[in-house]
Amino acid sequence: MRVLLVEDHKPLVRALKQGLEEEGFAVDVAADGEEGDFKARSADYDVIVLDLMLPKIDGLTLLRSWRRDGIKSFVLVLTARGGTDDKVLGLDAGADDYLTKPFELEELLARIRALIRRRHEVKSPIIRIYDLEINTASRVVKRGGKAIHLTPKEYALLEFLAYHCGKVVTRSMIWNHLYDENDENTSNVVDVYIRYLRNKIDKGFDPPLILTRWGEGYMLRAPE
Amino acid sequence: MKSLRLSLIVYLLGLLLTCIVSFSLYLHHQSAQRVSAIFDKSGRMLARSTEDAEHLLQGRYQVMDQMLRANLDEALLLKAQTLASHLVRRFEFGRDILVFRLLGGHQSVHQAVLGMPGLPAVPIVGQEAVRWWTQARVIQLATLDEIDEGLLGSPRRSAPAEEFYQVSSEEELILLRSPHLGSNILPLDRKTRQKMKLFQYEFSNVTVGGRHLRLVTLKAPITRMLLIFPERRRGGGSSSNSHRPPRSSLVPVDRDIVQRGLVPTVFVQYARSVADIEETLAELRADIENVRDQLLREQEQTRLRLEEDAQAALASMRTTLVLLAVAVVAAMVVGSVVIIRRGLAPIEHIARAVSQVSEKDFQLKLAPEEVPQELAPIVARLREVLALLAAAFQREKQAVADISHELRTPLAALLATIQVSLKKMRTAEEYRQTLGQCAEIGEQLRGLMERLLLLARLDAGTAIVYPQLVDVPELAEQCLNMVRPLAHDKDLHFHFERNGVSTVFTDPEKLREILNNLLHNAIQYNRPGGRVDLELRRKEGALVIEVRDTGIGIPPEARPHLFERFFRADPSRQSDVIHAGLGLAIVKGYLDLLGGTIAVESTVGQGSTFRIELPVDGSDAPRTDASS
Repeated sequence: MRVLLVEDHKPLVRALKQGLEEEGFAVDVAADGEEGDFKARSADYDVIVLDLMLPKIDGLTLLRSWRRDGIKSFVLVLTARGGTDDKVLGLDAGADDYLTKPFELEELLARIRALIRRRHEVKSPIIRIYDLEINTASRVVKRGGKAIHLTPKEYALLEFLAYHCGKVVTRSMIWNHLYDENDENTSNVVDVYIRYLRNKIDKGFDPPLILTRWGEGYMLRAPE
Repeated sequence: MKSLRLSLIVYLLGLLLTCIVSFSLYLHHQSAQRVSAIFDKSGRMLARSTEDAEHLLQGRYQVMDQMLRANLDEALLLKAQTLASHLVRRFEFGRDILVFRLLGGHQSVHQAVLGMPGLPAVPIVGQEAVRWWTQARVIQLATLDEIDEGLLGSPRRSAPAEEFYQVSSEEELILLRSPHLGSNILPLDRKTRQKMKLFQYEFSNVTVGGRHLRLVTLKAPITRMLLIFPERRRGGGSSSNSHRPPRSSLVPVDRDIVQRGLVPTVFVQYARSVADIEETLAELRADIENVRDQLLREQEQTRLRLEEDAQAALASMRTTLVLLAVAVVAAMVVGSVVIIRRGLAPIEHIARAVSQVSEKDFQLKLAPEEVPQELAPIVARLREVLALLAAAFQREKQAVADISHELRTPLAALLATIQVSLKKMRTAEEYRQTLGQCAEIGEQLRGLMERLLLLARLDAGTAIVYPQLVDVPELAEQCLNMVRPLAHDKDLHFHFERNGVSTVFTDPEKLREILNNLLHNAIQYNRPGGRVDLELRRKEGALVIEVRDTGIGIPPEARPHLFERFFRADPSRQSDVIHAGLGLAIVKGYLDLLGGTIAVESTVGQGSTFRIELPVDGSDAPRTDASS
């Protein structure tokens, strides 16, 4: 999942980027309002973590312009202002969630996961496809009751496929949602990760869940 | 706590009470005076009427007295005259018997005492004047018994003891007298006897035999009868005895002689007791006394009644006044309570409005027409104060929010850094990095705390100046060196002009802080590739430091707030946490402490100039200049 972090406090950005990436998120960073606006409009982010007090353009102004222009990314507002008025103001401007600094990293991650579920219209944190079970909260993946260890990137790929279960996802979709702006787009990196994933998910199990649609992309087999 | 309403009521009632009491006292006093005046007047009128009645009675008494006495005198005189004339008649009737001829010489007076058996001798007075008389006449008067009392006009028996008569000659011989006079004599003093003329009479009061008598004395002629004789004789001459000398021979006594007193006279006295008159008068007096007493009693009663009436009227008026006063006071109490409540209603209204002012809006919910004119200034001032308060409250809220924001962001960074690090096992190098990052954030927090503390100290007035000789160009150079890396990042160029300024006597640390802040801002808000000028110069005993940049400038509406805490001309926060909108606030606070001033000139899009003027002790400046 791809996240845009619009925040001007460098140490905080550094920590959050690391924390999110270790969870498998692709994280882009914007240090001021202008940059944030540009990036939000140029890519389809699953979640935008937005600080309200920003240089150049403040967060609320950004949020309002995005919503006005139909940008549908889920926005989690992150600010030091903890008053009810500020929360109301933020939510009314089009924010999907709100978190006051200082916050627990786990809470931020949980809220981002919840927003992603909402984006894919999934209520339960556990996704079941045949005998595959993906716990999006604990990021534990089981097949046939057996726990499967996945790297963050593999997990992110599986989760992305699972959220689009029964639908074809193209390589560029996968790329756009799993890799940040700094990743080198080598042509076969997606295929490589699909192969890794197949080895861990489908090898020794039946039926195979990760399907290839030639000329289009990949698809997770839809439940019967 | 004093109640406005209560004190107003008390004052108002006090005033009213004083008015009512004084008015009542005045009214009462006036009425009492008038009543007492009326009372006095009626008393006087009453007394006068009594007096008048008394006078009237007295007058009546006097009239009665006079009338009775006059009547008595008249009766007495009448009786005396009757007696006198009776004497003459007696004489006439008895002329044949009683007339004697006396032979004697003329021009002498003869006296003879004639007597008859059983009769007292009566002296006759002859007078010289009848000189050619050849015969004297002796008149013998009748005895007492022969006097017909009926002739005197009163029944003889009826009042024998009350009326007395007495006839005496000029020689004080008593010719005739009332038998019941007894041994008493009606007095006739010699002087009166000689003084009196014929026909004259005189009244006097005498006391005879213990009786009070009214006496009239009449001098009557006897010879008067002579005038009658010839006529009588002539008239009856034919029937008289022939042996008697003819009466015509008698010489008639003419009137002239009589008037000249040349005729014999007698004094006829008639007296009557005044006991009955006095009794009548005494009764009258008693009556008058009675009437007077009664009048006085009535007057006293009337006076008493009047006084009672007056007192009753006064008492009734007093009662009325007291009742009226009580009623008025009661009405006033109620009225003043109502009036004061009505009068104070706007104040209550305002008080209610004030009590409803909340810290949320600081609005006085009061329409202008609800405020009475007198309270308008207070309300206006209140609104101003509330506005100031609201602004201060807003600033305070803003400051708290700002402080919390400035503290929360580094704290969030610190926590996030630590939590990310703790999520899994890391290598020693990774931990080292993490700790370095934490230390960096900690530094930021410390800097922020120090700035906040500094401002708190400036606010509390506990910041202390440590002045010393400071080489300003060197200090400025140090500051420039400190910010040079920042300037380098933005590709800025520095220009530094000393203008011969050397040392001044001031607090170096505070001056350094001021310069650092200004230079920081000059770099922060500059455009890439711009320049920063730092100029030192002297001006009339002051040190002028100018920091000019070629940055974005400060919009005019932001300039008044430039030195407020947490204020940023750019509404969005700059990423530099070190300043946190406190830099210029600290600059201003330090300059206030050092006695300096700061001025700003700015053109939006072209740059800003911050000019500091620090007062320099005149005596120090040349010396320090010389030493440099």
